[in-house]
Amino acid sequence: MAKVIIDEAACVGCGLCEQNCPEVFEIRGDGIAHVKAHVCEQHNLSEVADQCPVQAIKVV
Amino acid sequence: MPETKILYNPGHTACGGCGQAIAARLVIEAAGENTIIVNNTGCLEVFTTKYPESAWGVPFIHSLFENAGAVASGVESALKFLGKKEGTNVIAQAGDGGTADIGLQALSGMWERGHDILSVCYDNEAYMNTGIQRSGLTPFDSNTTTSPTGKESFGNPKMKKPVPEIARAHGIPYVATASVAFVRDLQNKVKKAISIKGPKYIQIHVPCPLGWRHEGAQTVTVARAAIETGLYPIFEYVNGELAGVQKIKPKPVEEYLKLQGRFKHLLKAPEQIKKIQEIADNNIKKYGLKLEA
Amino acid sequence: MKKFIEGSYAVAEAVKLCRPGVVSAYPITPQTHIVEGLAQFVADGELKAEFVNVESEHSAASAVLGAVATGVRAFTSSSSQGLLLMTEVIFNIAGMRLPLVLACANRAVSAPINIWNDQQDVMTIRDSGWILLFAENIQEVIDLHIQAYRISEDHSIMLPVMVNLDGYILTHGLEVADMPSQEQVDKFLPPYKPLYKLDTSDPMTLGCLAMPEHYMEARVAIQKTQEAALDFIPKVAGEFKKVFGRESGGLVEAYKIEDAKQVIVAMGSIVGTIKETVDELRAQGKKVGVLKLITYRPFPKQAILNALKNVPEIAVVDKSISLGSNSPLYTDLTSAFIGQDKVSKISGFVLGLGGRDITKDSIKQVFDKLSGKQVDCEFIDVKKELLEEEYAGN
Repeated sequence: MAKVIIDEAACVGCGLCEQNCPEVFEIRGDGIAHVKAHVCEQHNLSEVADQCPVQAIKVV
Repeated sequence: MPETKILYNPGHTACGGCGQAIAARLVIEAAGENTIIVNNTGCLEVFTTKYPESAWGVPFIHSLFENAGAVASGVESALKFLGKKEGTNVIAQAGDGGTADIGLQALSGMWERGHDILSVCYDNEAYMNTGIQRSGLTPFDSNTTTSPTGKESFGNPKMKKPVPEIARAHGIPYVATASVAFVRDLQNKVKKAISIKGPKYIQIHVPCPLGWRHEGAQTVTVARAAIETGLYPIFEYVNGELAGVQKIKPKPVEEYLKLQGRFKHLLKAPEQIKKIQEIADNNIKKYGLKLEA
Repeated sequence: MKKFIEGSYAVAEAVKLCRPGVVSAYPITPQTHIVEGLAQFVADGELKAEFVNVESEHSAASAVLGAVATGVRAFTSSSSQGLLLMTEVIFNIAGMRLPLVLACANRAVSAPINIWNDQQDVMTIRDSGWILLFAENIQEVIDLHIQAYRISEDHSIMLPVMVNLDGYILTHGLEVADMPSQEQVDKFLPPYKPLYKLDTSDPMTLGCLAMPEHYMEARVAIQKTQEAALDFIPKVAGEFKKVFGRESGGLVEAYKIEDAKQVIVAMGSIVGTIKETVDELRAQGKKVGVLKLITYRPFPKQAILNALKNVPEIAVVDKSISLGSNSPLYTDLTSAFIGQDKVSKISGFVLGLGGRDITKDSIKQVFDKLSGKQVDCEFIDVKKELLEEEYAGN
């Protein structure tokens, strides 16, 4: 089963992943992105991961 | 029998006897109806496209003075994109000023990029459209309004810019000179050029009765004399190698100079005529023009 | 898809989505990334187009002129000296009623030589008949290019469109913006259908000589089309909203001007700074606002008068100057008020020439000075010592 992993040390909290797929990504109180779910019907998670400006997202 | 399409119509407003008008018709008739003409500012587009009339029976575009090379590059690229370049000729044409001076950059770029375009220069040896000013192709000692004869001047002090040599140095597959004096040769060269893929250059000598000061009916006679004296060598460079040289029995340069008002000041200046004879002799040597018995 | 993207590459990608068949340009800072981006797309087979590496901007504009005249959608981009070099071709393209989109990375004009942002370059061609659009941010940069092709190629318009983006600020800045999908752009922008073109099966002559008996009407026709564009441009913005789901484009954007006592009128990225300053001043109780011009040509006179009719004090901020007179936007805007019953106080200010930094303090200065005596043309953030010591006696 696919899994979405965020490298928390690399994440800069820009929020782009949350804007592209709020079903999976969420910026929390600590100011960085966290994974809410590992699948999404509407969005191509690999493409969303590609947009991360610091390459902090892996879809395995 | 199908009606022959007229590609270049009479009724335009060129001067009587205009060498360029003759040559332009010969060029398009040789190239045929599957041709797009891109033309720089100059006599030709002025006298053939006075709105609401046009002499052209083929697609024709005039943009500015110096950019036929670049506009034609855009036309050729668009045809390539459309998959229509095969079977459509693109000719970028201009006068001597639009070719050798202000238009040289765009031509050089076009030649360097290897576009499949024939560039034609109608060489009447001055900026005629604007009133007979000196260009880079104005011959030595020619009287023009910006290289006038005077108490301290015999006219233009410089030699013609060797544009065919410049074209050859770009490594393009076909370069030729031609003249309205030899119609068949001119048309053969156009046909040969368009059969070759890549950039081609033909420089055509076209007398201008108004600018050179001779009778309109003398155009072909004058053009012929230029060749027969060696002052306008007719040759081809095919893949950079000299070929197709028109051999002559050289006549003295006076035979050419005396026919035109722009050189009449030289008839009293034998030392200048000597210099011009030297130019002719150098051409004869360089291109092997002399007909050996 | 939302992307964190550099403005120049956003232009390249937006243009790629518009499917031009011929791209031709000459490099000049700060436009270079735009054409490099397009070159890479072509090299990777992502954009099927002829990429013509010309030997000057004059030839770049000429090459795209030739391509559009042959019936193929084209694109070019330039800036500053390059735009000035292609000036006669710019006039030629509009005069020949050929549709085209050009991205201008606004940059100061030599001399002195300076590669940073101001809007002097586009002002030199404002009389050319081109439709001139200005982007505030990278989202607008993307959206305006797509709308530009739609506007330009409509048979009711057939005029070229220049999309202006402030050099470095937008070309080299990175922002989050939504990059539309190819499907969306294809839905919004149909293939180019020329009204006239070079075609051996139907020969035409383009670029005729027009004697005094015929020239004037050709120019009047462009003026009439520019007037028609005042209705057409908002129409296209409406179509854009239907397909892409956001408000973008059009003639002007009003920001907090409904009850404003002072409004700044401006174009381009400076509007972003002004909006933030407006927010700060509003929090302090000051009634201020900003009117952004997205379309500069045609000049949206009525839209401006409608927006500003109840505003007592208007500041026009230009990033350019018509030396010896006032600034272009100021001149256009003040003339819009001629013959109106109520004429506000209008002052003109020049900021940011040659990339001089514009801060919120600079904008606050404008609002402060607007409260004082009316001025036609006051330069903000000028270094007095430099003027008096270095340039005195010039």
